[in-house]
Parts: sequence; C-alpha cells; structure tokens
Amino acid sequence: MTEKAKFRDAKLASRVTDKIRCAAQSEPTIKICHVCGTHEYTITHFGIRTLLPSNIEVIAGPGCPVCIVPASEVDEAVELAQRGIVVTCFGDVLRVPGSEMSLLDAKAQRGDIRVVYSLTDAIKMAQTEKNKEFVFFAVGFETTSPSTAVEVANKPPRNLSFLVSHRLIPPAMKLLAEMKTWAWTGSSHQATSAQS
Amino acid sequence: MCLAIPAKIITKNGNLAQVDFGTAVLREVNVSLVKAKVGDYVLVHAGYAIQVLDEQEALETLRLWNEILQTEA
Repeated sequence: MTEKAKFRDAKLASRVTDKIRCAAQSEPTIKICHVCGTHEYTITHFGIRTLLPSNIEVIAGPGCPVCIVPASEVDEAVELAQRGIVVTCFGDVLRVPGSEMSLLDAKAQRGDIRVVYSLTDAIKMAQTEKNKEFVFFAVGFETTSPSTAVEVANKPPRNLSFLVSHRLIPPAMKLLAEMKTWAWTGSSHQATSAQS
Repeated sequence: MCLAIPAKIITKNGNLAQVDFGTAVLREVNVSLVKAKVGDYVLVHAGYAIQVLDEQEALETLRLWNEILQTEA
C-alpha cells in the first residue's frame, strides 16, 4: 500500500458521518450487527459509535468462534490431555469451561497443554518431539479453517492429530436475520476465505 | 486470534515468507494459501497469510466513498 490508499482521512470520515446523520434523521432506531472481532476492535479503537447519531446502534454479535465452542468439545481436549497427549491450542480457548474444567485447569493438574500462536508452531513441536503424541485443538471460523485444511492436506507429522472444532458464519448470520436487526456486516476476514 | 494484520513480504522461500508488520522486526509467515510475491502486502492471521491486499481495490473503495458523497445533492 502506498500513500495513495489513505483510509485514515478525517475529512472523508467527517463527510461520511454527516451523510449518515442526515439519512438517519427521521428514522426509528436502526440496529446494525457485526460478527467480527476485528470489526469490534476497529469500532472501539476509532470511537465509531461516538460518531454515529444516537438512533443508530452498532451491536457486537457472536463473532468469536472460541465463545461458541461447546463444553463437550473442551471435555474432549481435556480428556486427551489427561491421557498424556500434548494438547496445543490458541491462547483464547484456554479458559473456556468444559463441563468439569477448562484446559487451563487441566494444565494446572499437570496436563501438557501448550498455547501456540499458529498451527505451524504445533507442527514444529511435533517434528522436534517425535516420541510424543500431539493434538491441535482447531477452533475458528472460515478465517482460520483454511490454515488447518492446508496442513492436513500437506501430510502433517504422524504424531500430530487434529481435534476439529471449526464453525461456520452463515448459519449464525441466518439466525441473526430472523431477529429484529436492520442490517448486519459479515466478518471481514471470513469473507476473504469465502471469496477465495 | 480474531485479528488479521497487514504485513509486507520482505523475502520469500517456497511456502514461507519473512514479513514486516511495520515494527521492522521480521516474522515468519506461511504464504501457501495465497499467491503473493516479495513487496506485496498480505493479511496475516494466526501465522498464515489469508489474503493479498490489492492496492487497486483499496483505491476503488475510496473512489466509491467519494462518489457516494458527491451524489444526492
């Protein structure tokens, strides 16, 4: 990107918000729901809610795939750790409660549970520690599932298995569509996978 | 986990690339999901590039914003 692609333009933002205020003037409450962690971060970081008129509500929808991991799937990961298998996972799934405990609790009980930033880290661990069995707890929406898929297709180490807990955005969007929401925005990065 | 962050490809070797997130510290990223070359900006999520950022597309988006603002007198 060069200086030409300037999205941080206060003048443009001001013109857009004036236009929105004008268009929303005589409308009842308008609810816009987004379902993306990056959208919520951007909206909060740049104070977008404060720019909008009071009759436009921006709602953070269920954009977090970690938050909707069923307790039963956490139980499966915990059981694997209790059987002596090394469980690798993203950091944000560590505290999700299972029916008896979270992976963090299992780690405190000497389960070998390792937080990774990326599946590539789990692969490197499995390649280095050939005498151990590894599992990658694969959570995430369509943004993340391609990276799991590409590694499964590329012959991962024999001592690495996948506990798949990926989720799809469209069914969640369908549920939201049945609720009284005026509009919703799709997850931006999920859309990059969808369009690919 | 939720965030995807733009980074510039500095060097590339097969499916791996060294990228700059703007901090001048290079990090290794897997680029097997995209068709990217050195100098491209990619969106990185959990260690994988998931999209090549297209400058033309970004400029088109800006042009559309300006067009929306200029119509409807």
